[in-house]
Amino acid sequence: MSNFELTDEELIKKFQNGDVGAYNQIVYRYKDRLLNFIYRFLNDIDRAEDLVQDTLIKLYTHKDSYREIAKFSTWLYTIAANLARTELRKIKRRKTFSVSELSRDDREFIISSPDIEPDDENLAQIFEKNVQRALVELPDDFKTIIILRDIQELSYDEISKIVEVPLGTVKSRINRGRVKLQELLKKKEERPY
Amino acid sequence: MNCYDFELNISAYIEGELKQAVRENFINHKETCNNCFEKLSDISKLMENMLNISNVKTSSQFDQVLRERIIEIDNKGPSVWQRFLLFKPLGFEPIPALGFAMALVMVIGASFLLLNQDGLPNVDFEKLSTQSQKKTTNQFKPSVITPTKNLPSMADSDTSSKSNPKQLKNRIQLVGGNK
Repeated sequence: MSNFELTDEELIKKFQNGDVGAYNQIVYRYKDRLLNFIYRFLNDIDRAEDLVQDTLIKLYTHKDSYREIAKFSTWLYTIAANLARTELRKIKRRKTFSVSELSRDDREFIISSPDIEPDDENLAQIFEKNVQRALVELPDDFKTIIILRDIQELSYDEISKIVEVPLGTVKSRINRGRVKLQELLKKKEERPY
Repeated sequence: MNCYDFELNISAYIEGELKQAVRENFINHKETCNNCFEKLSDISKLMENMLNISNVKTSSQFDQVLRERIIEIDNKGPSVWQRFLLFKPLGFEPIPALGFAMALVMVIGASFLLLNQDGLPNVDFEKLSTQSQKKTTNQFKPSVITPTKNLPSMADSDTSSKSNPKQLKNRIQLVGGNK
């Protein structure tokens, strides 16, 4: 059976036994999924790509830490989520410092042009941008869960294991997160810039 | 159902997880409250659109950079900690083996000290306690000046004063003896 047909758990087992081809297959399967998750979380594509690399390097160096008691994807997302959260904390710390240094004249003003009628494609792009900006403003606990559920389409059970909170809490946070996200989007529609 | 409960159940309703009775109440409220109806349709739309958000993809150099980093790690070899974890003395796991070895050393050391009398210093506790008692009594003894011994010399050195018993008594008090 080729690596392409194997489950994630079978692949990691092969990799633990020294098959580097199995690792390459895992990288192929997860690199974009992890990038989407971390990018939605950080809103910075370059930094997100670096963190995907770090996650996959951790997988390479700590392959023996995985035990088959949890789903492989849950384990990998947990590593990525922890790295993303640490990075976000660093960014926030840096921002607090740089905002204090910013003078009023340094602000950038964007003037909207009402003449341009957006088509469907543009509308989708605008929506995506607004969602991305709203996600950044969402508290971290809600943000992680919303991304994992509504963008990555993970099950409640998996999310509960990744963020290490009970299933009931995950469900209530998803609901509150969606309500909050909708409120933020509404505000952005009223005041686009 | 009020607006607060309605909001709490929006996701469960959309995902079809509400029980029949709660679901009926939810639908009744939805039909009577415009705000809640609007909120429900907004969130449904949001969820639908979120699924259609375009996926970002890793850059073309991603695999190359990852490969280079892995080669670098392989060339470095395992760290000290990893080497320790890989080391299996007599087939035992390293951490339990280390714990066992430390416990064994402690037991052997303690039993050696307890069994071998010469290994322990001889301490005479009685002597020690009397010595310490003596020390404390010497340290806190008040300095009393006895008038019978000191008075004549003081009187002799002072030529101007005569041996008046009242003056002598005052002197003794000033020096800090009797009150």
